[in-house]
Amino acid sequence: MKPISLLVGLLLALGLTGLTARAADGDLQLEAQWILGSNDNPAKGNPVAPEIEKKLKRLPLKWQHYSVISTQTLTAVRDTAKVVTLGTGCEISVKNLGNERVELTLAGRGKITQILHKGQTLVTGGNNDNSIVVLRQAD
Amino acid sequence: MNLEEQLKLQALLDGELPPAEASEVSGRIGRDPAAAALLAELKHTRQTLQQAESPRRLQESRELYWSKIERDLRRFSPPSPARSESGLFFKLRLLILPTAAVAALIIVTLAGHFYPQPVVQRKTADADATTVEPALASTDAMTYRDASEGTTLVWFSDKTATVKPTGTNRVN
Amino acid sequence: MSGQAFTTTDDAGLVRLARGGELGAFEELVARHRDKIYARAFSLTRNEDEALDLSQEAWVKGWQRLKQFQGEAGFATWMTRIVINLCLDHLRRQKRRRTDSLEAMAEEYDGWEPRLPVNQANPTEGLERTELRRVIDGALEQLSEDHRTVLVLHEFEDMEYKDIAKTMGCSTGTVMSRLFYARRKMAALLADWRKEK
Repeated sequence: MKPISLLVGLLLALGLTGLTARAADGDLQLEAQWILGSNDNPAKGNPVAPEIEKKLKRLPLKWQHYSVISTQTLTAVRDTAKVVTLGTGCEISVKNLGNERVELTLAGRGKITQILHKGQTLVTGGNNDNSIVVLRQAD
Repeated sequence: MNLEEQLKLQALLDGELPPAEASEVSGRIGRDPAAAALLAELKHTRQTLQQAESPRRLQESRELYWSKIERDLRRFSPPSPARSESGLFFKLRLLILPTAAVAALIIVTLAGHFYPQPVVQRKTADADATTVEPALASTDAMTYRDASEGTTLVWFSDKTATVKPTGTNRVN
Repeated sequence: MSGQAFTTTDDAGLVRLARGGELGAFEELVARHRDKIYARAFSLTRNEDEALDLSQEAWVKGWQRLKQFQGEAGFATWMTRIVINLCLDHLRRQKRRRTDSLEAMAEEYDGWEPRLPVNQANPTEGLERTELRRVIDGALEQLSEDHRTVLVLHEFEDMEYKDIAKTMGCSTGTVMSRLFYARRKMAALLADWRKEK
């Protein structure tokens, strides 16, 4: 093979890799948790991670204890909505709007659009329910 | 006796019959043993229930029970300060309040270095703003942000719900 | 100032202070009447957690509406009305209708009365008070929500038919027939219990 063809091929390959990398940069690795709040002591179920518990306890929620019902990690592709069923009665849709901006739809409740940098957390729920959904970028 | 007659008997027992009708139904009791027996049963059931409602005591301590109420009170409707414009107390307030405010500011500033508190953010147009679209017209949404922990809480509630935020924590 | 500083103040005085923003005075009101409010919530919901939450909601609502309290009834009575309305809203939202629809059918059937013979004997005679309360509690548990609600509002809260109808969002006639059925059912349950003993 001529060196020039090899060079062109190499450059093309690098370029494609670059494009793929840019596309991959646009994806978000997210973690969604469905969490139960209660005032039972001790609380039933698997407790949430300490760093999550700390965040939740600073919020104006009425519960003293939190336990995890389910956890799912997902890759949110740019401009594509992904439906995630966290359990019976808890379905969310997550859309990556780019630049770490996410759109979270909680079925039957509403839609939230929020920037979610690494380390930030979005918590949502509603009345007549003792569970919440927590969304953040996966570690 | 049909159901209507039985219900009148009950209404007589409960004092809910107009006087003319009460008189007519009372007369019937004297003539009809079945009516008298039914009235006796209703009367006994009423008396038994009224005497024997089971008392129930809260298991939670006074402090714990109150702490949850207080948190909601402060979140949804901070107490309005007492208003009194009479005489010496009012005049003293003019001196005491500013001094207390300055002292409080110093304490809070110092405390803030050691105990960072969640910050309630007001309406902001920056890129970190949260936008919320409730799914139904009958749903409200409240947003609370804890800036120091990077946590945003969005809470949906039915507009018919009894406890609602009064807007101090609302971020649109 | 904490609530414990107001232990010698009467309810009217505490309400006046609380209206002026004195949270400690309201805390004392909560401490005095919390068992009663919780008990009423429990009698309607039959669920301890729900009763706890609803009773606390009632207190928050009471604080928000304190200016509306005119003192025409006692403060405890006023708070009880608040928790009753919250409980009924809660039960309506839960929409537990299966039992109710069957009971409603039984209620409307004109010929159901002969199936429930009049109980002649006093089924609760000789029962010690604690035991009586336990038996009543168990019998109340077996009623449908609507029947239990009308019984609680009439027998424990001394509400008139028209006020119960307004609170429950139904007609006075419905209140009367539900109350009648509930009382007869209670009498039958108590008689059955006695027979088993």
